[in-house]
Amino acid sequence: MKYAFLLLLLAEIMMLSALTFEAEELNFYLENNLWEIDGLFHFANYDSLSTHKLIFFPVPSDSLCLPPKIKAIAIQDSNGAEVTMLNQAKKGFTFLLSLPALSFCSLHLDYTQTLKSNYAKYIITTTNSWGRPLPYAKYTLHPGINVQIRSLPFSVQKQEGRNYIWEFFDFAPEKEFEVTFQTIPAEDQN
Amino acid sequence: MKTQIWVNNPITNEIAFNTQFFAEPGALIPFSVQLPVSVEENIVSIPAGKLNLYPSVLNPHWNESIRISYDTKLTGKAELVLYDLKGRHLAEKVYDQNEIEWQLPKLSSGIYFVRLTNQGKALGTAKLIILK
Repeated sequence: MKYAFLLLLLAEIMMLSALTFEAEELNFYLENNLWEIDGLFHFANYDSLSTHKLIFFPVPSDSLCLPPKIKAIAIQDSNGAEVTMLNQAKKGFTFLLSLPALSFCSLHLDYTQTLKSNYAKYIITTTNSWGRPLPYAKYTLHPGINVQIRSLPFSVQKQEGRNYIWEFFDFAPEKEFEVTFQTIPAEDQN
Repeated sequence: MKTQIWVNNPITNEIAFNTQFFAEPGALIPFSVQLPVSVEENIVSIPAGKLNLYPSVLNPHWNESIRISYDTKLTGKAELVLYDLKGRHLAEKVYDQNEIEWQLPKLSSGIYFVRLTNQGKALGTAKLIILK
């Protein structure tokens, strides 16, 4: 009975949601066996009622040996928006995002993953589940000093120093953000 | 409560009146509209076009202006109005060329709308995202 009520509540939350995903600005830091994602996710509520949405944030368990370690999850410059972490597992985590009527919010999320090989992956195709292309996406890859990139997720758009920057408008990704790399031994770095 | 009222001309199907206001529950808001009542009257026909805005996402760290164009020639006075997500009027600018650059006021992160009107008729609205 209790679970039936919870299911009904969840169904109601999902159906009532008028939340839209507007943009993401993500920084990927690659150091040895550590993969850190530090980014801003921008959402809007165009409705004249407040909205709540359960969001499942998948992490690629095939490239990881441990569940992600969350360093920060918070609303930036909150105008009444709230985020509540509900569940964390190896394959991802779930949080509840609430926005007041006719509002915009930026969710700051920072987490690290321990890689088990020279392959790092971030799932971006779930963006398509929002039912329309993402108006704007910006990705910056920051390879560490001892990391040599073997392959990138997209052809190079812009490079600043060691960093690779991509920008997309009305983005509907067809594949995940994947990077293969090689670690340079300390004695070979010069 | 944010309320929007628009009236379509039944002959041309163009929007003859379009306004937004914030009303208290139960409040009476008087407004008046003048509509042409027959095809013999001088109906101003505005060709349909597309309102283009570039960039549609703006990070004030890069620049603070946008380029706006309407791909159909307009006659008479045209005006651009900047609204926020709550429908608040933030700024306006005369649109008097095929393409203009608009130096925007300081804006916080959020969703905004640019609306083009010509001779009192709304011709198009484009969305603008500001990220900081």
